[in-house]
Amino acid sequence: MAQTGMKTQQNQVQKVKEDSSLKGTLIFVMFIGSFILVSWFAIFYLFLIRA
Amino acid sequence: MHLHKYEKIWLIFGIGSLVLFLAVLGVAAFAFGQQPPSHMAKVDAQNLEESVFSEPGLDQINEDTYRARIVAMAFGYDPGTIEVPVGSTVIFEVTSSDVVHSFTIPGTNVNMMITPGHVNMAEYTFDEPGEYLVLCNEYCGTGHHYMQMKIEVTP
Repeated sequence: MAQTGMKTQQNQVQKVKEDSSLKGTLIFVMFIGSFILVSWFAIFYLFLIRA
Repeated sequence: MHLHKYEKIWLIFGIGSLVLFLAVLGVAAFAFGQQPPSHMAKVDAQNLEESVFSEPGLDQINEDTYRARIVAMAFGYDPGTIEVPVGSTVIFEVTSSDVVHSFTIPGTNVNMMITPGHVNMAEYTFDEPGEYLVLCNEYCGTGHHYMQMKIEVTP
């Protein structure tokens, strides 16, 4: 009886994991990353034209 | 170790950016010799009279290269004006006789901190004639906003 209960709980945990999506995280990570890259090159360009 | 497909994407993106930044800096430093303004040169700040800064000013090194030895102090620079012909490369060697100042020519890459006891260096080629302003951008006291000197680049 107790074992069956644990199994049900494990199934639920499994289900929650499958449902979690990283799509939003990916979009936001890429957004921040692109912002850092573009800023870095913009500043580096300023440094080069002023040399 | 199991990694989500998206995790792999942003790890590659992040590590790739880091490698790219370091490569650009490495090439600039080792192939083109770019370095910070401090060259680890030192001077006794309490005894500038007996150092190379006893007579600050402009020395001509060769045809179009000059060395400007400048002392920054509250609230000005010695000398207050230097004059070079257009096309000249000036190597600035600057130190402070009192507190931390800066030596900044707006619109150029010459922008360095001036600390007492250290000689900081920067190099700039003046390709455009005109009057260049030098400013202090480290707050150094009540007269900080008056602290300036001029570089006259003559045609």
